Amino acid sequence: MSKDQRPTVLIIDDSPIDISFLFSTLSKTYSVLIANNGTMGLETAEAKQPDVILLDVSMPELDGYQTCRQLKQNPKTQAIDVIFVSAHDTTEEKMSGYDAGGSDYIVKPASPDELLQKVRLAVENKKLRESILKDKDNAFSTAHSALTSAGELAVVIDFFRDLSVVSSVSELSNTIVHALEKFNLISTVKVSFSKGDVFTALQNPVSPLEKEILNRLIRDGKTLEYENRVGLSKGNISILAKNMPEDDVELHDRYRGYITTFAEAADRVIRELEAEFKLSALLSEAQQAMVESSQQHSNYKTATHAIMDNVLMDIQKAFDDWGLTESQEKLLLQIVNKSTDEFLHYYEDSLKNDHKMKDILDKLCSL
Amino acid sequence: MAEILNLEDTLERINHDTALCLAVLKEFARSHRADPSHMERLIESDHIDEALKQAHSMKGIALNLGAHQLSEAAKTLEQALKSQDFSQLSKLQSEFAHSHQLTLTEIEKAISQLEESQNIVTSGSTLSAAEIHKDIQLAQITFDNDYAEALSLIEELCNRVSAQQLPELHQLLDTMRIFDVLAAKQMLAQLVEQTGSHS
Repeated sequence: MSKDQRPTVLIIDDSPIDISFLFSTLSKTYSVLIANNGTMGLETAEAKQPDVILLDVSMPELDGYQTCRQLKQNPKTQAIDVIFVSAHDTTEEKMSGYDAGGSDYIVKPASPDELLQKVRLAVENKKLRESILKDKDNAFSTAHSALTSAGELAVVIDFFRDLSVVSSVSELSNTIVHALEKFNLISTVKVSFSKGDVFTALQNPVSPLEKEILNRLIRDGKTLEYENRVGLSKGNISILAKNMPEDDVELHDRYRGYITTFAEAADRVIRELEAEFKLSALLSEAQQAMVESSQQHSNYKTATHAIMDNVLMDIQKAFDDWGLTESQEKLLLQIVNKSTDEFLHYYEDSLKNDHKMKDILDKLCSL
Repeated sequence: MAEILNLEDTLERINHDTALCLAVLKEFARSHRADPSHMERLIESDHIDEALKQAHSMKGIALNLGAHQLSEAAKTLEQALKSQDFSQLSKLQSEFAHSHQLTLTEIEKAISQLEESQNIVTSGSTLSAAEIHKDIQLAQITFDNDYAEALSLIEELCNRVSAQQLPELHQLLDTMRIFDVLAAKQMLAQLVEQTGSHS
């Protein structure tokens, strides 16, 4: 990549020492711009449109959170990813960063690898977001017409109808996100599943900070309400709605109720999917065991026949040496043949049981 | 007891850029020398929020510098200020001041060590006044779009133009290395004008 094409990172920090460490790591890969305070950062961001902003939290006058809020309020800068850099490492601070509109958080002292990785991720997110934004207008007009023609109740009914035919985890999370979109809500959803968690967002890729908040919602089971955001979790589902109505309290409460309902219903579905997945794995395991058992039985039968044939041959040979009468020989052969028949009879019985088990398994699999 | 200064670690995280590391250490010695007395004044005058911000800021700077003992002392002080637990404040302040002094001493030693190892030899200029002017103009154009590139251009130019020949150029480099953007921009504009009139 030529230097002209390199993505640009804007560092907003009042400490030259802290800037030095970020700068030395980034300057080989990125074009770097510097602003020594929040106000200068806002001006530079608007004029130069960097791809990513690294923003120090503690600065005099305009601190990092205030700067970020202003960046997010300005249509010219709101799409730029902001990564906070701070010596604060508490959850509360990270939540404050997220609430201010940040997409990631780096705790000082940042290792060069971590810093490069987070900046690279933010640049990739920006590219992805730009491609998604091209379709944004169409998506919104579709959602708008759906709302006007259907109404809230229809959205809920549609959601439950869609839920009844969901067959995968990603389908489930998409169903939630798109149902909330019909209320004009922009949301991010996490579904916890034994095979791996699934994160889904309506417009943008899910930022690392959003992922952390969704993880914490599930872990702590708490409800988060901050300004126009609502985050809640039910079982294995967590939902973060980012543009709740602020002025209409009644509508806000109703939407929160729908989100709760959606999360509860989706959690029931994910439990069913989980059970289905486990049952299917178990059945497939049982089928495999049955195939192996049949094979073993068949091998066993062949081996038993060979052994019994050898025994009979050995006995017949021994008759010549023992000097038995014909009736004694006949009686001895009858005893051996009877035992062999009994043994094979029990063997056939156990084979029948195996077939019955196989039939049951086949029926279970076809359910 | 935590380490006072881990210069190796600092160099590692600054990409072994000795010149930048030197600038960083000098900046600390210059701008943060009076931090403990400033902290004391803030606490005495009951400006706890300001003191808290300063302790936090020092914790971050010390962490970046690899000054672990100072970072620990700043962190303990920050926690006490945050929780409004003033019972141990005087002791914590003394520990902070002591760690700061030890760090400063180590930093000064590191500065001498790095200056010696750098052993900068600037050859006499092989560039004409017009060429110097052209390069400075290029740095000025680049400055607003890529500070890193502009800094690199000025560094290269300083290697070919001695401090005796053009002291303002070397002052500009020092300013750029401490990332004082407005001052550097102003100095760069003056240099463009100055070298333009000589070329």
